[in-house]
Amino acid sequence: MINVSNVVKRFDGFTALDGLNLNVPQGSIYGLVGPNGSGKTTIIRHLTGMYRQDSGEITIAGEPVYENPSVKAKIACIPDELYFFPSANIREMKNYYAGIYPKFDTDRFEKLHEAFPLDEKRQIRRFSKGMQKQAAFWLALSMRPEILILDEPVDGLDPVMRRQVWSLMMSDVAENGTTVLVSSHNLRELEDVCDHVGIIHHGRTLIERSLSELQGNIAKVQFVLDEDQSLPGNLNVLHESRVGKVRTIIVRGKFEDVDAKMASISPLFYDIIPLTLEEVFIYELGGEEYEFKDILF
Amino acid sequence: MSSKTSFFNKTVFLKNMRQFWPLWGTYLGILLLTAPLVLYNYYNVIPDVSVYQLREWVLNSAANLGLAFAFVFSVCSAVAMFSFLYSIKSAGFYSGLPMRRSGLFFTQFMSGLIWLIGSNLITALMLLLVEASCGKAYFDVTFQWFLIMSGYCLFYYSFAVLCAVLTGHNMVTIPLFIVLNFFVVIVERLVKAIMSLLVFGYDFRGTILKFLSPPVYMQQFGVLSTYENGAVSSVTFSSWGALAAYAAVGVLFAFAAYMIFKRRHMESAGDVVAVNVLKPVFRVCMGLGGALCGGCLLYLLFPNLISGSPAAAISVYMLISAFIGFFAAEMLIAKSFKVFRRRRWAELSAIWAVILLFTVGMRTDLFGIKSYVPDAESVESVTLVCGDSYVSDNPEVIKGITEIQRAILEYADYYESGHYPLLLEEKYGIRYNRESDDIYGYNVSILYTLNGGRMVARDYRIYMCADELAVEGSVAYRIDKIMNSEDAISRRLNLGHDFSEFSSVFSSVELIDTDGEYYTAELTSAQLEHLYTVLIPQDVAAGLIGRIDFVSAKSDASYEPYHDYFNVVINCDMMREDDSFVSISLDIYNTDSAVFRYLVDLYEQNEIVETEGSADIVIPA
Repeated sequence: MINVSNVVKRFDGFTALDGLNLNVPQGSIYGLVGPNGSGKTTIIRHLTGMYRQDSGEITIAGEPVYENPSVKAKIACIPDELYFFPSANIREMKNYYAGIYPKFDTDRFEKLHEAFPLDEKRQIRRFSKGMQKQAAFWLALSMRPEILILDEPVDGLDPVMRRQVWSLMMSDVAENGTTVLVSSHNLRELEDVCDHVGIIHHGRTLIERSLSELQGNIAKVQFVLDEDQSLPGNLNVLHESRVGKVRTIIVRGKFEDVDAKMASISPLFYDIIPLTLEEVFIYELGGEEYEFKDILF
Repeated sequence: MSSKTSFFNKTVFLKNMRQFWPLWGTYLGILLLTAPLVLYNYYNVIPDVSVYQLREWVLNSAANLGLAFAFVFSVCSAVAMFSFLYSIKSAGFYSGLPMRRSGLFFTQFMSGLIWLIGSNLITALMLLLVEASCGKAYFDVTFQWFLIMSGYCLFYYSFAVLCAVLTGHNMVTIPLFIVLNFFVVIVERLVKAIMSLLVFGYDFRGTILKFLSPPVYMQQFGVLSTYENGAVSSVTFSSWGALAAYAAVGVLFAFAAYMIFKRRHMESAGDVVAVNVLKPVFRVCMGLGGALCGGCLLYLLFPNLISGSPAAAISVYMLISAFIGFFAAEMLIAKSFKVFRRRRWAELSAIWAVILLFTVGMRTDLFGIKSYVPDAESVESVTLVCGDSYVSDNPEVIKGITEIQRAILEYADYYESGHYPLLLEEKYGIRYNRESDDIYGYNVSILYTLNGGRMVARDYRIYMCADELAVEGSVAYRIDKIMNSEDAISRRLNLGHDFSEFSSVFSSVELIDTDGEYYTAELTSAQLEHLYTVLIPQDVAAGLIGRIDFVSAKSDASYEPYHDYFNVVINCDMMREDDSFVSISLDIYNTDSAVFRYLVDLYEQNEIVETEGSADIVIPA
């Protein structure tokens, strides 16, 4: 659905995107993760048609996004920093969107009022940050977008509203095949909703896989060895730590392969545990000179 | 999927109307207050207002006051319509809309323009209403009012939109618009001021590029009234052609703004300069502009801080100001104070080199400006101003004035440094006595009109004294010879006209006696004719009146009695059939003159009428 191919973008000599590649399948919820300054917001601004890439190609359903109203009409975006017209209320913003977006669904807008209990006639700028985010979701979901692009979407929402918003989006994906690209630092939350994940760093794609594939290709092994035993040499160990006699290693490889290799040395005890997305993020970036450092002050 | 978007988006347009209605409302309100309401009041003050008075008033209100309103509200309108470019949030919002940039630009552009033109239209309709309610509606002149206002709005609004898309910062658009509108005039003034310090005698008369400062050029726009038999016969706007040209340029500006908008990077929101290729241009302009402005300002504040010549001081000040302007520009571009990089120093060095080439080149007359004296044969006419002015196309006079200029240039160092006594001693062999010899300073202005129509102007500050005036061939002697020639005096006094061509005359004679008593009197037409055709020419030929005395204060003593009887001041305005005037203004201080004797005789014989206040117009019998 969304295809980003070798996209390069420079700002005054600084390379924000350095040959970035992304492939977001239709109907998927794609989590875009990466450290601060990795280029997440930059690529989102390209996907909404705000920025024009220096080179490379960005297409949605095979068509370029930039200067393409028919493609942009399919997209609803909730950026990190929201924009509403000064002194506008939700009703006025709704009328504006309804006049511009061909698929804006007024009935759905009215129905969604139940989910977003906001005063439509109150100026949006007088809302709290979380309420403004709710207003943005209300309007975006009323557009019936084919593609929903979200930058730190639930930042500022309370836990109940977070669950509500995710629930609405997931039902859109299930019922309408909406494609969702979401950029967030809240990896625990992404893990619950995403089916695909892309990790970017320094404007390049590090990893792009389905979540199950990603988690199935890296494992945490806890084990205890005899003094005369040692780990098999063919394990791709990313990280190792030790508490007493219990040692923990992060290993790249399929569960079955790791299990077979560990079994071959018959340790006193071993257990293989799948990694959380947060752990995958930390250990994958560790290989890219972005490892977590245990610093004590 | 079909899209609701098109080249013009109604929703965006209506949103603009709703969001910025206070701006449009203010413009409309001011127009209504200053045009229909004032016109209504005008009708009340002058109930029997003529059609020409009305035309004049309506067109003038557009040409003058309308110009200011169009200038101010056009830029406000452009800022309102394109301010979304100045924040990354709003720029992102607008560029994410399912519209092409062409559609977005056109909608925003038209939103601003339609309301300006719409307000003009509403006001024009109200003008018609007022005219109709007070007698008769004048469709043609009201339509002209609308066209003038709309022409102004189209030009200034397009210009302001162009400025708006060149920058990404809301604090820059309006200053940029103002600076560009007055750029030529400002630069001209500054260059003139600096050149006058660097090049002795440099003068600058206007510029053919004045049209590049539209508000200044448009101030000439007005109403052209044609008179017949002393009454107005027609009233038209004076500058339809120029206004149409500006409107056409406005369309070009709009197109240029569209092209920039289409290619503009939205990430430039917040940048002082939004177009990358213009960033070096901005630095250089700020460097050179800073050199001109700062150089003048510093010289004005600290003229004597740097010893030596003013040229040295202005050069140093310009270099300092260029540094400040250049790096201030770089700080604005980079949004950082850490801008002193090697590459920028190299660019600044190039600007410094240009400034030094300019100042040193001008000072050493590298370009031959100071030493340029046109060949007398290539001059069509010349104006010499020293004490008074003398315009001549006589080849002998032209040659004499070129010789004066050469003589002044020969002694330029003395004049420029103020060492006039040294000049007297070294060049004329005159020993200057500080106690007894008075020195008089004069500005000598020469304006040559060359055969091709080109004009060359020079303005020198020179000095004179009685001893120099007596030296044949000296600068003072040459000037005195030219300015006090019979032809020069006759021209200054406007002699030589056929008196019968005057339909009416206005004469005022002021007589001041030795007690300081002041009388104002009037002459009959016959008396004035006798003076004008006989006595004044006779005195001029004899060298008794009209002379400029360069080395005494006599000419300044019009109101101080300096002889036994009268001081006489004659002021006459003689009007022809075509309403043109010939004026004479003459101070008579020579008791030997025939004019003086004639007036005194008339006064003593009570043949001139003593009046209070201004004299009446006397129609010849």
